[in-house]
Amino acid sequence: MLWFKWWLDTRFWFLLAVAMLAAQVLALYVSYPMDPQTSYPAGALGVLPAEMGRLRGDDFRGYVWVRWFSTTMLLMWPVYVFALAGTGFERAAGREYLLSLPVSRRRIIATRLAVVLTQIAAFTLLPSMLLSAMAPLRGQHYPVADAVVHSGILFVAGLGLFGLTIVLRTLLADAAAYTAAAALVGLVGLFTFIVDDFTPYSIFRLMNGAEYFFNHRVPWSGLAVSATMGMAFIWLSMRIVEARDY
Amino acid sequence: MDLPPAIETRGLSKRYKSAHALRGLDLRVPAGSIYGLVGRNGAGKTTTIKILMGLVHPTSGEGRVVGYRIDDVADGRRIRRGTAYVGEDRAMWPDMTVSEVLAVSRPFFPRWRTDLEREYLEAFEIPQQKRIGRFSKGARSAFAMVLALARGADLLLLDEPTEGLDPILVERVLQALVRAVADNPVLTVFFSSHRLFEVERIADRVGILHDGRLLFDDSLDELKTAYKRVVATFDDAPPDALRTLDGVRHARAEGRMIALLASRHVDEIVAESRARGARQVDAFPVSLNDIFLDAVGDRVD
Repeated sequence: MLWFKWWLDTRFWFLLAVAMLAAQVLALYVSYPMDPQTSYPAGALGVLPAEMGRLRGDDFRGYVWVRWFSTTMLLMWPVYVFALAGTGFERAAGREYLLSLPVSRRRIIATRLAVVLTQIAAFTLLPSMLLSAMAPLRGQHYPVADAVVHSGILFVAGLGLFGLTIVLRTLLADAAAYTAAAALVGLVGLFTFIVDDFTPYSIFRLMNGAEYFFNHRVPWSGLAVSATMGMAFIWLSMRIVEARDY
Repeated sequence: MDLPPAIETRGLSKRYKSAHALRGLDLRVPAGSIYGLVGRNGAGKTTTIKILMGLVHPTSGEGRVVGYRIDDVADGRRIRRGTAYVGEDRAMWPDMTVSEVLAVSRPFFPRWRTDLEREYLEAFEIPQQKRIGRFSKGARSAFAMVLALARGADLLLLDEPTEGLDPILVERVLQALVRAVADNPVLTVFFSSHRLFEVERIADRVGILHDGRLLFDDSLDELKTAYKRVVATFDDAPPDALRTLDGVRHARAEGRMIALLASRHVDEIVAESRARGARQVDAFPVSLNDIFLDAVGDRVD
């Protein structure tokens, strides 16, 4: 029943994420079609200026990628990940009662991670599937396969960010953890946007799936690095929790 | 029936950086007893209970709770399956309702008592529709007691269980604890309290913890049999020699009268007082409060 406790703890942020992202899918379609010469975005996170030039006036697939996977999801997705990764075990209220249940600390955290990662997977995939489902309403087509692959890339690439938030939340007090994680992500985002030479190596470029969009190749090595970092952060966090006095 | 002790520790110590919270605690709590642990703030009561529950790791020493080792992860789960805990943190899960907390809790405990759950929710006047976060401090404490009593546990580890309760609820909680032990002969209650009158009312064994050390660990009856206040009245000023008699813990003279707090050899002290010219000598029983003040060296009289 631990999963039920974690679901009750996290449902607000999960439902908010699904609702807000679904609303942004609707907004994306409401603003389409647009004149690509006058109102196309001037830039997007993790997209090089030359690539923006190529995309301007391109097909509907390019429009969705720039607006959704390179803008909305890169800006909003980390916010919900911060919120969900930070909810739960390290909250002082009720922690003693939780630890008095006949389960190990490892299982408590593992169950929480399973619930939260399922929620993150769901709010990554569901709005993107909505993109495909709604495309015909505007006389367009957006492949389901693209929605699934881009969501999968975003999810796995974001594991590093997720793990970082978990470990910061374990080590630092509430506000300090969120401030540190947000500052780090904001700094990397700013750097990615401003310094073109850094963009190809940025986590944001990995998360928006540029390699898949332009070359139809899944960036396996980048995803492996991010997933490994995420797992390492989670492992570290578990060890800290197991050794800690509460 | 010869039951193993519910709690047994040897040389249990806990150090937080430079501060010693516990210094070699040797504790033996018989199964089926109500054990009251008393001590000043910072004496080590909460640390003791948290170590027994597995929330805090001891720096050294060993212990067993309901027969299982406190330093073993698998045993820790077994301890928690048979033990109910009410700690300092009464906030519970503030975003949840009573029903939600109960729904999450019940499946962990095969011997969960839904009959007691219902009975105590009513007796302790728990507002069941509100979220826990909107409860008063007293209602949170009372709900924590419901969760502990309904677990069907063999051991209740309670840290200041009546904290925040009004006098009516204090009475109901104390009655519930006594009843729980009466209904289940193997149930042990181990609780800490600042309220010595509560300990005196329900405990059959008492431990006095001071500065991380256990000063007393005895049955309350034996403690109170051993301790007496001897009051002797003289024709003149009482002789100073009485203050240094073996067994005299504390003396206070006032005019021609002297009051001696004795922890042993009461008959000898009475006899010596008479031998030294006391006109009248009486030995009175003392309260746990007197014994506690004497033990921790904070003599306010």
